[in-house]
Amino acid sequence: MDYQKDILKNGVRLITVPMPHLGSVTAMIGVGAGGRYENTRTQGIAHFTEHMLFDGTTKRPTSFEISSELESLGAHFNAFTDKEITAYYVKAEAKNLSKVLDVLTDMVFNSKFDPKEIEKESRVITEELRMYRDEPRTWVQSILYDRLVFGDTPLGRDLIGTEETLSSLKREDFLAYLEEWYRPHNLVVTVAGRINEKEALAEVREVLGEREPGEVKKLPRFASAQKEPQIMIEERKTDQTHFVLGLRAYRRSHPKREALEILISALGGGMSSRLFQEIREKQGLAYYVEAGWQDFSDTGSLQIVAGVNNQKVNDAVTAVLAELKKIKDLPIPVPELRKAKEMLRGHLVLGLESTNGACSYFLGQEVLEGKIETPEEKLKKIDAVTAADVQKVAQEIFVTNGLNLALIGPFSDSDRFRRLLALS
Amino acid sequence: MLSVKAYTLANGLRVVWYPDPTHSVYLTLSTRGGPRFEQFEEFGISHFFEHLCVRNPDLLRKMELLGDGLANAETDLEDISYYFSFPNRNLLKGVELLGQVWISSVSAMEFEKERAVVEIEYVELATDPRSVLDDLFMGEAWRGHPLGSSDTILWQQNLPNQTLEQFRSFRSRIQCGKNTVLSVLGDDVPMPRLLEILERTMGQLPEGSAFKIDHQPLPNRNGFTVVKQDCPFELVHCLLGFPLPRLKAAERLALDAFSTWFGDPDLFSAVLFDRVRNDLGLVYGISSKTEYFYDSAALAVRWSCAREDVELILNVVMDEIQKIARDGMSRDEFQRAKEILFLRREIALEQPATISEFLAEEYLRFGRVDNPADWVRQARRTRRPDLVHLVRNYLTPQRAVLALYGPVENITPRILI
Repeated sequence: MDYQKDILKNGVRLITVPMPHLGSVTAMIGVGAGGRYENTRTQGIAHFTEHMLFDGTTKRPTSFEISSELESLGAHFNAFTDKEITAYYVKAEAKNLSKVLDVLTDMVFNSKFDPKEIEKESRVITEELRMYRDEPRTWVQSILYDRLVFGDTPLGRDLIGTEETLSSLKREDFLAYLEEWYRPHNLVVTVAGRINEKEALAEVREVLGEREPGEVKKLPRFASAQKEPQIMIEERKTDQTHFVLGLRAYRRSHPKREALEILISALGGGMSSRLFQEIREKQGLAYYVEAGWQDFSDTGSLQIVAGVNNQKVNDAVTAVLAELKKIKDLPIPVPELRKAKEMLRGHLVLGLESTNGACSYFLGQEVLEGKIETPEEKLKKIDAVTAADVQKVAQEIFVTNGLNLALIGPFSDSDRFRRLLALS
Repeated sequence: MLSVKAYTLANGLRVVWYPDPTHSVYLTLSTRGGPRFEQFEEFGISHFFEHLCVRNPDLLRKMELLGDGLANAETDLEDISYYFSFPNRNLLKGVELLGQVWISSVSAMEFEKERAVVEIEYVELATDPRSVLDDLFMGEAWRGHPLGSSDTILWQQNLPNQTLEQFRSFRSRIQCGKNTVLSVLGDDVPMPRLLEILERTMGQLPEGSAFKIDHQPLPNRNGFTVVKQDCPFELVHCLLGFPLPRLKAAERLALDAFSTWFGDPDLFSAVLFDRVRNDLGLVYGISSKTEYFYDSAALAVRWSCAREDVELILNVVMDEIQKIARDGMSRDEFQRAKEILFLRREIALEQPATISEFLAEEYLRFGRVDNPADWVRQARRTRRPDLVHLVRNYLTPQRAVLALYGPVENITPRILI
């Protein structure tokens, strides 16, 4: 897949990805900042800022003016905030690229942050927070587990904020946050679709080239002090128990990344994975069980999530640990290795079929790593992984003192679970 | 222009192919089935069938080895669908496996294992706001009608009683050529070879007959009704629904245009989002959606909010509907509704999985299917009188049902306008 990277004089990076067979274009602006870039007083501001950028600019004073202008083009637009990145995007017919860039940059750089809108939006986000609290599956995965694994550090704090911080943030806080992090050196623009790369570059230069250059400071690295298995339980009268059983894993750009991805795929990717087959199909313990990976610039975490019958939580945790031991003790057979690789290949290729998928792929790497690996390079690395590589990763990661169990269910006693947490 | 091509296997199973250029091929296998067609003692069997018919770990593993495989499956009130995708180069192998999975037998042991899985799923569904609200709304608005009997709690209660014989009997009725459609979306598909494979696998199923639709009129509605289920959530989850009779194609288009303009979940400029979230800041999200059945239809507005705001939001939604009923829709507003529907559909054309699903469901439901590009263009043929007529006659306070799930013990919201 071809792409071109250009850097404007002020430091803004532009990635263009021509996809001439499609009729659409997606423009995405990514900022290297997110929940991790907050302090306890401003907790939630990264995500809150994302909301506020939809609430009116000096040129388009209301949210309706922004949305109706884009939606009358048939455009789809949205944004997302994570711990290390925030991104805004618009997908539209290719002929509308100029308009799309105009609106998108207007939102990112000229938002009003009207105090009345801030107050109203704080109510909206509070409703969002309460909604997540009502969903134990979401809550245990997105909030409780991070609190357990990353503790009282920026990575461990709830991305959405707390009701207290949400109601206390003021206009000055947002302006200071933007001033600190939304600076040209910290911005990446990606444009993918039916585009002329030169024209796209000229368009971006026109809307962003005049912004004052500015770099951003580096954050302290996360250092884990975990010495033994950890447990966090939120007692609730739920009919089902939702848990995350996780282990400390590699940072995003770790050289064994691909081997780890294959390990995760074999363990808990899809219906033929080991965990799905053993926990759900053979033992009937869980309705859902899957494995995933949270990757940050300096740390990471492998997670197994499951929703199980309240009476069978011990059995399910024990069965998951048994699968971890198995894959650590014996190399995965060649057909299984091939299947896991095919799955990764398939997901990568399917994800790149749309202009927004291509934008996310390139933008994420550039914002978070400052460099790009093409899909072809990535596929080569996947192909090169051996069963021994995968086993080595399992042996490094699946250790008793890296175990973490976050759980929501009708339980208060953590000792009954602590006894189960061993991988030797 | 690309066009849809249809084929029929010897046993009557219909295959529809749309040669859209993609790197992968997307397939949707749909059968007419679902709770609507279940006998009382069978309640829940359709959903159990959905699980059991792909319960073959060896074949699923082989399928995933090809690159993707079974993406998902779902049981609606009137059909059961499976969604697959394969890289182009592995399509024929994938279809071979798909055919084998679909017709493979289920042992008593596998049956019991899957029962345990479904039991856990029901625990989740029984407290899932979307599922609970659907059950409350359908149970009230379609009371006494086959569509009103679907209820997760009944499925849950019935699960221990379901037998392998019952499953086999249901399977023999549902899984036959004339009751099934397969859509294929992808470029360069070698259709003759694909059809050969299908004849060898799914073609072995009996011809049977399509499930008969017992058209029944909608129950009468004599006033606004609130149905609720108490639960210790922080928020109240709400569904304001309107049952409608069977609609003609032009009316469905009008209802789709109205719903898109009024509350499309992906539109920030939709009326409801603008009023309730942007102006009032009372919800994180609010949206409307249409649903079509063989003999009726529904429009449902959903939101979650603080307990004290339920009545206010209910009245804002009704007020916006009543404005259209009272004053009609201005030319500009109508143009916008029509154009937004057109543009939403145009964007959907770039989502192959969505189009594959659309092809299978339309073909199963109507026995014919529009070319997806025509389906997009039709949006511009929406007529304003159809839209206003629907709003005036069916989206009325008298027909409205409000389903609530959350801390609702002592609240009874009223429509005040």
